[in-house]
Amino acid sequence: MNPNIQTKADSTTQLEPILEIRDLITEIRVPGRSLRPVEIERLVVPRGQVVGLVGESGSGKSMTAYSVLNLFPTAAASIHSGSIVLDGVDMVKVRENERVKIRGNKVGMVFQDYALSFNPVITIGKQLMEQLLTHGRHENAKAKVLSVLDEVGLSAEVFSRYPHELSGGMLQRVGIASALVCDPPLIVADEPTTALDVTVQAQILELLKSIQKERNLSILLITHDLGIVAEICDLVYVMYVGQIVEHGTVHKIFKSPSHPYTQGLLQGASSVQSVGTHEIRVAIQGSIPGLTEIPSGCRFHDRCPHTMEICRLQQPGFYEVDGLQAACWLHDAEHSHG
Amino acid sequence: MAETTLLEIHDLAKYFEVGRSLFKKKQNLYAVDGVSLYVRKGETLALVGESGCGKSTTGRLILNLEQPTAGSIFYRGKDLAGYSAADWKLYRQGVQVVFQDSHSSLNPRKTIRHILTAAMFSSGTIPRNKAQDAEERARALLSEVGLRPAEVFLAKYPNELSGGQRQRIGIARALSTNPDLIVADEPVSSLDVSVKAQVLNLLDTLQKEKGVAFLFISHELSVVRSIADRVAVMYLGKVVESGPVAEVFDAKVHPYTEALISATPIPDPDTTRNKKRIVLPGGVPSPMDPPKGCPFHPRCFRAESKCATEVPPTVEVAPGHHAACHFAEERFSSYESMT
Repeated sequence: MNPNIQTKADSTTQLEPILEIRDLITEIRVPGRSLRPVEIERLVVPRGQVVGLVGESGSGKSMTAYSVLNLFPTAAASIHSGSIVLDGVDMVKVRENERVKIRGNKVGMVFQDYALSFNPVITIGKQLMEQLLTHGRHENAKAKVLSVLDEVGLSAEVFSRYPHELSGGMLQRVGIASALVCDPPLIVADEPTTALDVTVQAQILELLKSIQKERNLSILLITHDLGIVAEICDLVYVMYVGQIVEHGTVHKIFKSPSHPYTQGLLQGASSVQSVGTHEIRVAIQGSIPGLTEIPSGCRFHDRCPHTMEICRLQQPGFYEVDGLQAACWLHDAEHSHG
Repeated sequence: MAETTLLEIHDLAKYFEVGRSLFKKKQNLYAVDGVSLYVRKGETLALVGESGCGKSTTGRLILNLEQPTAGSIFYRGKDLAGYSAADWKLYRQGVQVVFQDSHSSLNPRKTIRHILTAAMFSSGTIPRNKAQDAEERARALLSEVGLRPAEVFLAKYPNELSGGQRQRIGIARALSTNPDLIVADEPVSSLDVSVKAQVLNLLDTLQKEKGVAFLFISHELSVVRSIADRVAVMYLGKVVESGPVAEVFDAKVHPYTEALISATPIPDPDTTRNKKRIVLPGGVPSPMDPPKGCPFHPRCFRAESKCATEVPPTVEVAPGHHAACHFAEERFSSYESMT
């Protein structure tokens, strides 16, 4: 690594975010038209922070993760415009052969389900070493893999095991090890505990928390589970049909959400702590629209309990409300009733 | 049991034979291993536990989709083992099911009209020559589950509906035979937060209106807390604790119940970060080789030497509240002294 870059990063740790997304539009080409699953004005992951990206299925949160790596599950998807600056490098502008070097080295990815992600006929150790070798780090590759396995709480014995010999929780640990093996400063984790049982999920969350602290990692955590966000995130971005509708610190978002969608999500989230039995709060009617039927104006207007005339016509910009940023006309002085 | 008991199961067991080959001796997978439960009329009993604990198999045994290895199931006081063909017909009308995956449980090539009326015809709820009655009933059911205007939905195919709407069709189909018990196997697990609340609310409303009982199988404790009257916690094919939902969740008599609840994140940063968290070591042991003594002892934070050798008896710590732990009474009295 270039020592000059290292010092520059150190001196500006507080200022320069590890990841900054601006005016990102990701599109999927289908016959006759193009759909836009992601339209993000701005999303920032500060260094050493855990940023949660929450939304329901179909909100575009996973597509955002793929966009950061510029690596899509389908050839029909690509970045249309915008910038994704990762540790000073714009992932949209650089050539593919540069990106290959950045993936793994600058950003690691943790996926939801590792049951089918690993090659079943190659040992775990070999698959983890492969990453180091592709990035030209031949020296002590095995020692490095063993130390990462130890870091994620797996014994050295796992090195020579095959994927099918491991349980779901162990495979998820291997997945985290594989994201960490090249020591990237940023991890993008897409629903890392969704496929796991709750007691195993608790183990993985504890592990992520401790690794984050020790390495001062930045994490972009994509999840639909508000409990996990409350547990581990510093900042939260709430996504709805491809767009960010509200963002701010985790305490403020949970305490006094300003966007009706966030309010509805939080009210509808059931908790083991709820007081009364048979107490179900339905906060949002209807379901999330598909990309072919995006409503005009504010995309949430047809499900919103506070819809006004302007909501149908025009998309709201962001307003600052008690330290949160919310894209909602209710907070516009001219249009709000209050 | 009391008059109000609808379904009762005694020491129910289901072992699956696995790994049988030329070179291997056959092995048993103890999916359900001595489960006793009851469901009262009009109540919701939740069956919770992690994957592989036997909660779905218990549901399938009740639905007669699997044959029990041992034990018995009583519906309205009569043992299923002695059922005649006429009894079975009534049972299939009385006990219905809603599955988790609404996509694969609805025939993609049939309209909603066909899906709903076929259930009424084949169960004998409405005779086949009364097609008009069936259609009217289908229309009424769709309105009841919140799919309006019903005429529009009757002509649709399952793939034209969203996940939440399909799950409502599944519920309407279950209701079409006028059941008094619905086995709902993870009915909201694949739904999004906002839709999940809508479907749970629908189930709750239907219960109040029709007095139907639910056996609600779920791995989500937060959902169970909001919908169930009573809960049974399963681990490795056994019920480790059961009782009224609020008391079980508060008292947490069995250490496994305590661990499950403490592992579930709470959607509130202040509470969830300050609570004491029990992180259990390892994963659930294989149901092919369950531990001796108490099945939970290798992962238990309260375990003592006798837990490894003696199977704990199921004791009643409070009326209707049972737990299978050597320290159940001690743990319950310490909870009582705290409140």
